[in-house]
Amino acid sequence: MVITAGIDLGSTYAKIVILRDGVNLGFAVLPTGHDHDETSKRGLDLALKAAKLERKDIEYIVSTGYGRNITTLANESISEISANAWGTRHIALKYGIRTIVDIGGQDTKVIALDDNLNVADFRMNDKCAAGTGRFLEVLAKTMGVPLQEMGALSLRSTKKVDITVTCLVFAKAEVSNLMTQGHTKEDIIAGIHRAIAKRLATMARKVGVRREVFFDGGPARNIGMRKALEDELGTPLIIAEMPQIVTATGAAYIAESKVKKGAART
Amino acid sequence: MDVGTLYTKVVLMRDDIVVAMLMERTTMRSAEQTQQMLDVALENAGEEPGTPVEVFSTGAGRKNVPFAAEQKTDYITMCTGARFLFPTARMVIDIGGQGIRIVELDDMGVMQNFRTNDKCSTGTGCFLETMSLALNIEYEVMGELGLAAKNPCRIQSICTIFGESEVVSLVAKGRPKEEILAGLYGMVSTKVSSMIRSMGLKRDVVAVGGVARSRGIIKHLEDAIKCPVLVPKYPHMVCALGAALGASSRARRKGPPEPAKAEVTGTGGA
Repeated sequence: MVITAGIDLGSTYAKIVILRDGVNLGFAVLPTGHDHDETSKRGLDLALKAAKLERKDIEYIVSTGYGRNITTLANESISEISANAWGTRHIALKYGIRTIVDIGGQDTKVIALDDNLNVADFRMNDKCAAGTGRFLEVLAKTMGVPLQEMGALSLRSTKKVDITVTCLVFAKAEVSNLMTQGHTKEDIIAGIHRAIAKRLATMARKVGVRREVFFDGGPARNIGMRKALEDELGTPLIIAEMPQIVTATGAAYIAESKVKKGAART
Repeated sequence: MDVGTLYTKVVLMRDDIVVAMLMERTTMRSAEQTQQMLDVALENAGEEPGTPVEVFSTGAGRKNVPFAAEQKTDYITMCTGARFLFPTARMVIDIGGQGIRIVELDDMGVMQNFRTNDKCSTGTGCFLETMSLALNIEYEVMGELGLAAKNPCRIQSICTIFGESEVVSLVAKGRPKEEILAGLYGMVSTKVSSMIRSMGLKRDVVAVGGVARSRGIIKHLEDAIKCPVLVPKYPHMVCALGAALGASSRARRKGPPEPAKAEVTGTGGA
């Protein structure tokens, strides 16, 4: 029996997953806040509580994400790209995934997998807020719509309204303008989803889109975002039950394989 | 008349001498706004409102000036204006409200090459406005405050939105605002200087547009490109000046102007 934990310290949310022999026993998702180390400890304890375990039960911890080197809990850290690929392998092995599209809080990634599900190529944008989770978050606030309601609202769109600018700063102004011009919330939100999907699709085409395509990260919970991306890529997407914890699951899965290979907790 | 994304600028010339200048925040109703501004400028110059004037419009909202005889792109007017003020200019940098444009000219002032970035807000007027809110500093004093900073912050981001978060956390860590501002100047100069490098530096370099009013940004830019940057006294009025110069040479070619049509039709945004 091997018990391991994966900690994904994202820019916006921290995700912690505990695995026992490949089975998810418990997980936690909490806002990252200012003190990454403190957050990861709090998150681990929450996940342990859900799994009815204690810290001493865990054999190995792997951290990943933006704050992966800040947490003092981890035995080692690993890039989000690898963790994401491992997570996909663990969660969606049976689907034959070849491309992963991930929207994070402050970045977007497209990962191409080879036939053995190893990382073959990837593209990442963490320089510009356009196309990231932040884009959705800021524009939801501009419109005064709760983030969770964006998806459902966008499905009721009846008219095509486009966001013509790239930069989020300009998009904020454009969205306010569209609202003053009397466009409906539903149409504007659908336009926002389409703008993000277009940027992702451009990135994805650079690495090459091979089916099946797996969509993960927090915004994958948004049905409107999913539909827009399916339209842009012209292929159906496979979504995890809990898209937010794919990368953390991958980190825990890596930890498990390390233990099996003989890594001991120090 | 320069209808920018953030501000509308009017320069009135009589016999090639500037007799009035005016700047206002661009509204959604450019047609009315530009007409009113023209009348005010005429009054300031001691003329009757409604006096016929040859008008050229420029800027992102140039199509929203119904009485303009001709519309000129910003590229043309910024070069005309800059070469009028600095006849030796070979490179003109315009940092406006929503875009950065760099034009390379030959000895005769003919455009050779240009670079533009209007997809990204970093370094533009929008960038400075966002940061002035994040730092809670008056927009007007932002250009000077960071000049004396001894230990400028290093800002990692190159995106306005991510930079804003970085600024907020630097403020929370208690870094002096002057040092953060100096870091922001560095962010702008990095972007502009890399655009310049991709074209090849040509002297003399002239900076125009509202952001060029920031002495801090100009100083950091000079350090980055290792070359002095000439800045006119009113850099934000240069495109409007270029348009006025264009209009006055057209007026000379065809004699006394027709009465300007002051009919205001429709509305338009910037």
